[in-house]
Amino acid sequence: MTGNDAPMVILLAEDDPGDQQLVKRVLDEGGVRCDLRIVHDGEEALDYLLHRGRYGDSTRYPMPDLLLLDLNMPRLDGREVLRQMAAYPSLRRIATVVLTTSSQEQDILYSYDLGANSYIAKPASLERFEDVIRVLEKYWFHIVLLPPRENDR
Amino acid sequence: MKSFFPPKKSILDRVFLQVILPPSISIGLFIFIIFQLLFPAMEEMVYERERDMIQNLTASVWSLLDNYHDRALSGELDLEEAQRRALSRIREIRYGPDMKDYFWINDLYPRMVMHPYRTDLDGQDLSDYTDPKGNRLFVTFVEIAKTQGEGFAEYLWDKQDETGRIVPKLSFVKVFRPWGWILGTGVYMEDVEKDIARTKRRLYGAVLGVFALLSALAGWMIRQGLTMRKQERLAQEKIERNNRELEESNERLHQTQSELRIRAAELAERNAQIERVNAELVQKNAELNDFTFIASHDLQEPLRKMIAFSDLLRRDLKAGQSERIEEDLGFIMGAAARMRVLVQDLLALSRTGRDGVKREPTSLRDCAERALAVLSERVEAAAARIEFDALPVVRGDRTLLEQLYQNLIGNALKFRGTEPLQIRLTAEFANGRPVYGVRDNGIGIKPEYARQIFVPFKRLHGQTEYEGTGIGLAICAKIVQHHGGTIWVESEPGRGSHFKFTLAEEEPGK
Repeated sequence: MTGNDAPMVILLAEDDPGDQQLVKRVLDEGGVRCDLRIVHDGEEALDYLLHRGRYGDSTRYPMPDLLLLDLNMPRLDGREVLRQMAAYPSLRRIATVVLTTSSQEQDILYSYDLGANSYIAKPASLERFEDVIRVLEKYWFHIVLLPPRENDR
Repeated sequence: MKSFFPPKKSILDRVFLQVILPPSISIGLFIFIIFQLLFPAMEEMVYERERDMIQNLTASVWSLLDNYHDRALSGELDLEEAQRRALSRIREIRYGPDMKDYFWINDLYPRMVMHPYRTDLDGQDLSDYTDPKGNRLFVTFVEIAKTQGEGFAEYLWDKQDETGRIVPKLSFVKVFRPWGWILGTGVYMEDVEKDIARTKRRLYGAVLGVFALLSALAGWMIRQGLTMRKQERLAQEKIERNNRELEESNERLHQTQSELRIRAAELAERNAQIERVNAELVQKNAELNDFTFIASHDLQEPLRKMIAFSDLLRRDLKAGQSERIEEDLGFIMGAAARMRVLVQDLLALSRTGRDGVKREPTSLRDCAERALAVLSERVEAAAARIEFDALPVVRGDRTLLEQLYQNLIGNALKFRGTEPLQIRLTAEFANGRPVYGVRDNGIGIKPEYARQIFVPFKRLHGQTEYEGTGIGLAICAKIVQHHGGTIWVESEPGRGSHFKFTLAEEEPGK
C-alpha cells in the first residue's frame, strides 16, 4: 500500500488517441485519483519502464503501480513488451493488465504465460468501459496489496 | 494389289510340283518299266523256254537212239535194222503248236541221213549246202558236234512242210557218237515271235487296263490335289483375311489404347489442375479467414470509438461542456474518416486483379515511369534521386504493374530516413530467375516484421507517425501473386529496404 499523499501511477501503453482519451476521461469522471502516464508504442513503454532516453529521470517519470498494455501497437507490440519485461525482475512485479481489442485465444495464453496479471478485451460501450475501469481501480488500488515502490524504500 | 501376282505364279508352280508331277512320274515310270524292262525280259524268257524245250526233246529222242544202239549191241537187232527202226521212229516224231516240228539226222561228213520233210536231201552231201545268207549250216553242226557234243545254231531253213518258204530257225544239235550221227531239231523264230506277240497282246491289254486305272487314279489324285490346293488357298485367303481383320482390329485397339492413354494423361492433368486449384482455394480460404478477421477487427475499431464518443458527446451536451463537445465530435469524425479510408482501401484490394490479369508484353520501365509521374509531387518534395537498372519487357498487366511500382515507390517515399532519399528500381538475376525490385535508403524494417507487412492492415507504425491503412503492400502482394510470382523484402533497419518480386517464368511459345 502506498502512502496517501502520492497518487497511484498508471502507465497506459496505447497508440490509439481515441482510446487514450477514453481512458483519461473515464478515470477523470470516475473520480479516480491517479497519475496517468501515456506512451504510444511498445518501445516507448520499455523506454519509460527502464528509464531510457527521455525517460531517464526517474523522479519525473515514476515507476507505475499499474500498467495498462495494448497488444497491437506499432514498432514494438504489447507481446514483445511483455516478453522483454519478463527479463527484468523489477518490471515483473508491476501489475500488468492487458487491455486490447484482440480476443484471440493465442494472445490470451501468450499474455498470461509472459506474466500478465489480467487480460481484458476493450469493451464496446462507454458504460462497460467505465465499469471495467471502476472495477480495476477498486481491485488494484483498494483490495490487493501491490509491491512497495522502489523510491519509497 | 501388285503384291498379288508373284504369289499366284508360285502357287501355280507349287500346284504343278506337288499335284500333277508325282502321278505323271508314276505313270511314266510304269510305262518305262513295262516296255524297257518287262517286255525284253519276257522275250528273253520265251526264247529261253524254247531253247530248254528243244534241248530236252533232243535229249529224249537221243535216248531213243541209244536204246536202239543197245539193242544192236545186245544182238537183238543187227546194226542196219536198229538204225532203220530208229530212223523210222524218229521220222514220225512231231511236236510244237501245230504238231509240225520235227527231228532230222545227218552224219559227221556231213550227209543227210533222214529229213521228214526234205526227203530230197536224204543221202545227199551237205558240205556245200548254204542257206540264202551263205551260211554253211551243216558244217557248223558238225563243228559243234565235234567240239562240244551239242549246241545251238541259228540259220535260215524251209518252213516245215511249206517247202520253198525259207525263214529263220533256231536249232539244237547233239551228236550220237556210236553211229556218227548228229540229231537235231529246231523251232522257227516266226513261231516264237508269234508266241511272244500273243503274250505281248495279252500284256498290252493288261497294261492298257492298268494304265487307264492309273491315269484315272492320277486324275483323281490331281483333282483331289487341286481341290485341296484350292481349299488350302481358300483357307489361306481366309486366314489372310482374318489376319488382316485382326491387324485392323489390333490397330483400332492400339488407337483406342493411345486415345485412352491420352485421355488418362488429360485426366491426370485435369486432376493435377483440380488439385492445384483446390490448394489455391484452401490457401485463399485461409487468407480470406485471416483477412476477414483482421478487416472486421480494424473496421470495428473506429466503430467502437464512434459509439463511445457518441456516449461521451451526449453526456457533455447535457453538461453543456462546449469544449468537450468539440473534442468528442473530433474523435467521432476522425473515426468516421478512418473508416471511410479503410472501406475504400478494402475495395481497392478486392478490386485488384478482379477484372482478370492481362498477359501482354509490358515494359517495366514504362510502368515505373508512369508510377513516378503519378508520384511526381511527393518525389519532388522528398528531393529523391531515382535510378534505374535495365528494366525489361515482361508479360503482364500494365495497369497492375504500374500500381505495384506506385505502391512500392510510395512506400519508399513514406518511410524515408534522415538522409537524402535514393530510390533504385532494380532488375537482377537470382537462381536463374529475373528478380525485380525497389531499393531505398529509408528506415528499413526489422526482419521479424518482414513477412507481416504484406498482410492487410498490419501497420507497424502509429497513425500519428505515418498515415495509411497498411493495405498498400497487401495490394502489391496480390498483384505479384496474380502474375504467378512472389514478393518479399530484404532490409536492415536504419539502412534501407529492398522490396523484391518475381513474375511468372516466361513460358516460350505462350
